[in-house]
Amino acid sequence: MTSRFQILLVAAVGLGLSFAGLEVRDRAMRLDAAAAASRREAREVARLAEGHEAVAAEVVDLERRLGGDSGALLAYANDVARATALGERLRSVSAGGTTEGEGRVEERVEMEVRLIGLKPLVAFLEALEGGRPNILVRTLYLRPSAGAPDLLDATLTVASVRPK
Amino acid sequence: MSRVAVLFFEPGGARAVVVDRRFGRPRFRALLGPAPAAEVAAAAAAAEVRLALPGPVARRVLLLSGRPSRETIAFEVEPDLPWPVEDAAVGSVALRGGRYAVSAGRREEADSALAPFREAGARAAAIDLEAAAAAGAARLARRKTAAVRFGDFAAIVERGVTAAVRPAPGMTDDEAFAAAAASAECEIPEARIIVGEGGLDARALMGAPADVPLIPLLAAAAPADSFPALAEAERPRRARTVVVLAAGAVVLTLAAGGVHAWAAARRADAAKGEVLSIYRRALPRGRGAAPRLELERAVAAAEARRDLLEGIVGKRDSAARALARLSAASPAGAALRLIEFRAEEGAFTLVAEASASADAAAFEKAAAAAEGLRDVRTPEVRSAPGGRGVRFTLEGRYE
Repeated sequence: MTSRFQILLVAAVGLGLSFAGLEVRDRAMRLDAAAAASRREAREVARLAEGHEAVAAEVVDLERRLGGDSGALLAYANDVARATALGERLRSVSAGGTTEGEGRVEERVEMEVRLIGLKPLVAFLEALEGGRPNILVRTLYLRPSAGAPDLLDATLTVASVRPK
Repeated sequence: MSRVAVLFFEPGGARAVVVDRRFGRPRFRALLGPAPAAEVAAAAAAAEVRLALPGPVARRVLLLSGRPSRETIAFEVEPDLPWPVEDAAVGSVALRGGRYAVSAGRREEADSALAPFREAGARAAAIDLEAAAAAGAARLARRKTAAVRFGDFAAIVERGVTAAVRPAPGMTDDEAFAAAAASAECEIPEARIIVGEGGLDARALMGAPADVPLIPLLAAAAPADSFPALAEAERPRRARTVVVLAAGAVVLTLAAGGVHAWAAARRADAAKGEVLSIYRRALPRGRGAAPRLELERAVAAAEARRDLLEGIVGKRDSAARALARLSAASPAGAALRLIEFRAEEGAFTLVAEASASADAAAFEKAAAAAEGLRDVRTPEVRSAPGGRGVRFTLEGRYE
């Protein structure tokens, strides 16, 4: 084996190794970049997943709170009226129908109350909404009572809202 | 560093040419002997014997020369070779690719090489073949001028040609020769040869052990590159070393590259597995083609449902709560009389009468500051029917 051949051999081997090394390095860099991207995605996905878990837990909690309420809204409204001693002032309670929309179902009741002062009315409304977490006074219309201007006549719509 | 010796066996003894190899360059160290073969062999034991010329073939070193195409160690052959001694007095060993071949030359060739010595008046017995070796070595050194002392003679070699040969005893008497010799510094790396009585300690110059017999001739004169044959003798080993190193480098590089790539692939797989694991946990129904999108949609859906439920539980858009807040915002001491109140779909309208417009303004201000009420304004304030106080309309939104 001549010196020239040895030099050529070493040069060829060195060149080949250099190319191989560059290729390996490029491949490793691509893999490392992919790994870094995956880790980054993992962090973002983990954050998303944690957020999802937290929100789902809140949803479960809220549904648990809302799920405990049952029973007809009409009877409930009458019960509250009795409990707050509206008596004769509760002129009417009637079913207002059921509507659906945006992930919830609403059952409504129309109520008319006459000759009631502002404070008793506010107390009655608070009792209505405070008795169940899903009860809401949707509309409220007040006007002075005929013949008793210091008192009010009220027409209100009470809704019982349930998630679908 | 490696050390190489070439042994030359002689009747009753042997010689060894010892060459060190440093950084790929051969460097002459010593010529051992003539001495008993056992001693020479022992002295060269530390070296790796690359070439041994058996006694029946070679008797002594004659000439060292080197040419790119034919590196040669010449030696004086034994007279009992199967050719006429007169025509076969000079032999050579050509080293090629680790093999050596023996050839022979004619006596005339040696005679021409020794002519300068003969012409200088050297006795026939004194025309030692070592003189020729010295001249050849100096010539090979390719120095501009070299002065070489050998035995009883000294030679000045200029530009590779033996310019003058003088018997050593008379050398100091020949002022011209001595001056030329003194100014002719041999640029041989390991020795600076000054012609003169006493000379230099060849052992010290060559770095050889004190008890090793040295031949002043070659000890003083041989430069490293005058032994290309020995360098050539090492080439097979170097070739093997080159091949082994190249193969080792290939294997190591491939192994290292493989390990590196494998580790990178493992890291990539681990990271990918971590992502998939998170998806599996977060998406119980299984991962689809676009898991991230699914997860984002799931999050958005859960948030929307949470907002819906929170709106229900939080009494959002409660008309009752709007009335309570307005009632609480009524200024103390102000006599407000409600004429009409309507609240639905997050908006309220209140018509009331106050004894003074200041009361209406205070009421508006308090309502605007109340929690859960916003966009509160008073679009209309006018005198109340009957001229007592003012009637105003208060509008706003509630949450």
